[in-house]
Amino acid sequence: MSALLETRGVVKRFGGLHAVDDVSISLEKGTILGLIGPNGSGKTTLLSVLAGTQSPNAGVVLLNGEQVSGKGARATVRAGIGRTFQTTRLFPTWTLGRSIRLARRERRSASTAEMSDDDIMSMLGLSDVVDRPCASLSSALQRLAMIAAALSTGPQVLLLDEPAVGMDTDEAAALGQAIQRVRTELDLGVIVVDHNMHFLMPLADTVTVMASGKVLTSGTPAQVRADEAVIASYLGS
Amino acid sequence: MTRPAVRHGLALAGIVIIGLIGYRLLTTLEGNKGQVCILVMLWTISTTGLNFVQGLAGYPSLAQASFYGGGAYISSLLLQHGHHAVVASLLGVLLTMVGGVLIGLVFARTRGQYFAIGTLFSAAVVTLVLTNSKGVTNGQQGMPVNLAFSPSLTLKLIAISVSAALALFYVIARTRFGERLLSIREDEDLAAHLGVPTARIKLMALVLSSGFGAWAGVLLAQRDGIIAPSQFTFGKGFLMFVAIGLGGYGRLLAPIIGSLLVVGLPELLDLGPGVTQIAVGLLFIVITLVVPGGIIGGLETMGTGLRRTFRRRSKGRTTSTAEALT
Repeated sequence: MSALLETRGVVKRFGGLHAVDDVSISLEKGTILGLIGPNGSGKTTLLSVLAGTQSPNAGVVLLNGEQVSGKGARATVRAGIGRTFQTTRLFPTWTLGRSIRLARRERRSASTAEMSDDDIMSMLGLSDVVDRPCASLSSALQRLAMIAAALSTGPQVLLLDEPAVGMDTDEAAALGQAIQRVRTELDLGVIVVDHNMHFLMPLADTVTVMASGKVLTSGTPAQVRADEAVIASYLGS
Repeated sequence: MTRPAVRHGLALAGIVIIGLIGYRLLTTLEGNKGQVCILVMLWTISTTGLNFVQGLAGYPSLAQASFYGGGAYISSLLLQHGHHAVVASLLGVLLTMVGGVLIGLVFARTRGQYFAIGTLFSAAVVTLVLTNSKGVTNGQQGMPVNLAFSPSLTLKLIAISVSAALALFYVIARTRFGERLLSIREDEDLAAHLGVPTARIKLMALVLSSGFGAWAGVLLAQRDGIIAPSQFTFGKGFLMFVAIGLGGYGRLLAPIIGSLLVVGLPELLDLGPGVTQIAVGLLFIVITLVVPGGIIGGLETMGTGLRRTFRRRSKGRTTSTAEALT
């Protein structure tokens, strides 16, 4: 059986820089993959290739065995890959409810992730702010709102780029629980990029470490924590 | 009737009243004022089209005057070749929209300044073609137009078209297409990642705007009886862009307010050669600085502020009364 999401030898270059260099990863349904690595290691670029924001120079991205890479953001999201961004991106003057209604109307009718807008809001604790302009929400709520918007596209794979940035410990813990619930209830594959190990390690089923555009190692959080190369290049003692 | 139905009904009634007032002015004003009134109304029709691209989608199109010229020239040339007025007018609009498709196919995938530069150069090319194709357009001297509509019918059509253009804008802005355009203005990347076909929507908006511009051009040619490239330069396209900015991006009445300021004011102010332009330029700078959302945007902000103050005061009064009673 093929993986839900798979990359085979993905390369993304910017001029002479190999931001992502021959990366092959796979993600199973209902699992959370943590993607870590130092700044500039290619995590966000890989996420952008997966989401169709950028096309790879070589290699392919497969969703349920079908190629989705190089087709652009819209085709990719309609195929079933939703994403959030490293910096907060919402429609600032719109309410969250309006943004979500737009996304829901744009999705393909046959989507695996069936959950009403109300259920998504309540799962993420956003029910009370659904009618407020996105720009007026706190930073933590805006991060959650981005996840809600991505979920409203009906994804099979959810890509979260530093979802806990700017959150305190309690907020990050609540976010972790929300992501767990999303994964369980919608049976999604989730890839989370984050630098906050206290947030990411308990959340992820598997962790992939990137350095200089390449995959340094992959494994369970415990295996990665014990990996000497990872300790030396990223985690530290 | 529900509240939104009442609101839409009132808006559409207002739009009809604008057309009636316009018609009244067209038939009563004479001389320079009459000419200015006609120009303001024609620019209102054309810039209402621009309001889809620039106002709703937030894209700075500088090609609107070319579409305006396209409608004027194509319909006039077809009339010259003996085509029926209706056929010439419709083809004038449709062929200009084909031009809109071509420009859109090339530039709908570009962003911000590149889109502006692309549409600016498209407009420059149209001006060059109109100026240099002397055998067809008579170049800078201008081209006489066979008048297919009677003067009174032309005035009626201008007034009806102002109302129709505004009504179409009002309706289309509230459709799924309008919502998609607004999402592009808010954040194009996010819109694409929520499934909005951004390039196709921008292309459609540009084609729609070319249709409005072309129809205004058809009416201009019929009203003036002579057309020249100087009426459709990219400088005019830039002024149409300015008109939407001053009126208020994406606001229904922005084309009227903007056209009044850009076309009407310099003509009616008449402070003397040079001085008028400086005064108008300064006024534009002041408007841009004081109300960056344009005149209508500024009025809306003021209205919201006043409503809030009023609510706060009435709440304060209620509390005082409640305190007095307890």
